[in-house]
Amino acid sequence: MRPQLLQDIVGELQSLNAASPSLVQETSTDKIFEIFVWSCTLKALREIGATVRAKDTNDRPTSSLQFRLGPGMIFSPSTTPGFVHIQYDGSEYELQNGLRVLGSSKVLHELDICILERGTALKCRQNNIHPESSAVRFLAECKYYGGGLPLHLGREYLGLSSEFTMRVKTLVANTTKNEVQTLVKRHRGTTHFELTPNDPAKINRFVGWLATELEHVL
Amino acid sequence: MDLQNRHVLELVRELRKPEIGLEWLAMEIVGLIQQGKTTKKSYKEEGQKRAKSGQTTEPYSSKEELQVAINVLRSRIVDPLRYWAKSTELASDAFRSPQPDEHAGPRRITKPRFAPFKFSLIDDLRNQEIIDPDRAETKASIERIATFLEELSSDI
Repeated sequence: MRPQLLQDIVGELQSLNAASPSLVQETSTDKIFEIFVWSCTLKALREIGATVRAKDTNDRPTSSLQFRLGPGMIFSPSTTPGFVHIQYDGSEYELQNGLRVLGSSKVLHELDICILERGTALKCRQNNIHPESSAVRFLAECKYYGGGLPLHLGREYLGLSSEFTMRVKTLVANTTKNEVQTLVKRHRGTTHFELTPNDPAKINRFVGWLATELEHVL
Repeated sequence: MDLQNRHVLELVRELRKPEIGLEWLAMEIVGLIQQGKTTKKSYKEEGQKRAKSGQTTEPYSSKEELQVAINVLRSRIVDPLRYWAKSTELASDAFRSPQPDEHAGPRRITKPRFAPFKFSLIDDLRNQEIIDPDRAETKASIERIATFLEELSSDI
């Protein structure tokens, strides 16, 4: 290997980190993947004929949706990101990202992507309370890794799944690991691994699965 | 466990330097290499004629260690902008195309309701936008890293 190449990479990483420190952070790349899964969910919603409108943190229509790095409480304007207002088959929902929701044990969990009943979302914003698991119709746990997924992620996902007992939930990742897939499958869970922009077929498969499932639960 | 590949070792040392500030990347590379790889293994039990198959964990070879490091850098530094671009495309399509409750009339066709859709990722603590698609120098820097990583891959 050319020794200069390693120095070139390190030098470029150093200048990138100096110019865009927030971009070169683990939390940023994780969040960007969440937004990617969020946009796939949006596509699935359109495929089933749902009406989707972007809203800001004050529930007003917007053409510029803001995501924040940290998890958000639904009633806190300083930490609540924008969301998508969904209308489908006479009912209303919200597509949320990084939202704290109470599990069945009444412990707060952060859901990477979820679809929440709109009535509950409004009530929670008005009364400064957290939404409960019974109002969640879909959740996706998103994992972004530089290599294979560590096994503990599978175990964590199973724990989360037992707190949220709705039908449509999945573990989505940019990479894969047989053990994690085997573990989740064994417990009747669903995984969508190796979801990348370079593989349109995988995106289509994920969106197709999601559209079919959402048709049944929304 | 020690790293076998001296280039990976050197890379990890560099990333850990305070002036580089990418300790977390070094940790991810080392952590993945330390996990090793799971492979199939056949074995024979005493007194049994037929071999059985099981799974075992083996350390990566020196070349594989370098490939792991390249993959981590590619996933963490190069790929996020591609994910971002695809997300923007998917979201724009979803919001711009006519919604089911809208009447398809000449007004909507000639004059879209919204300006092109945009979304941004904000770092609350620093109060700054993390992804700025118009920041040409960031894009150029990431493209250079992508090229270097390609060259490094072809050298293995």
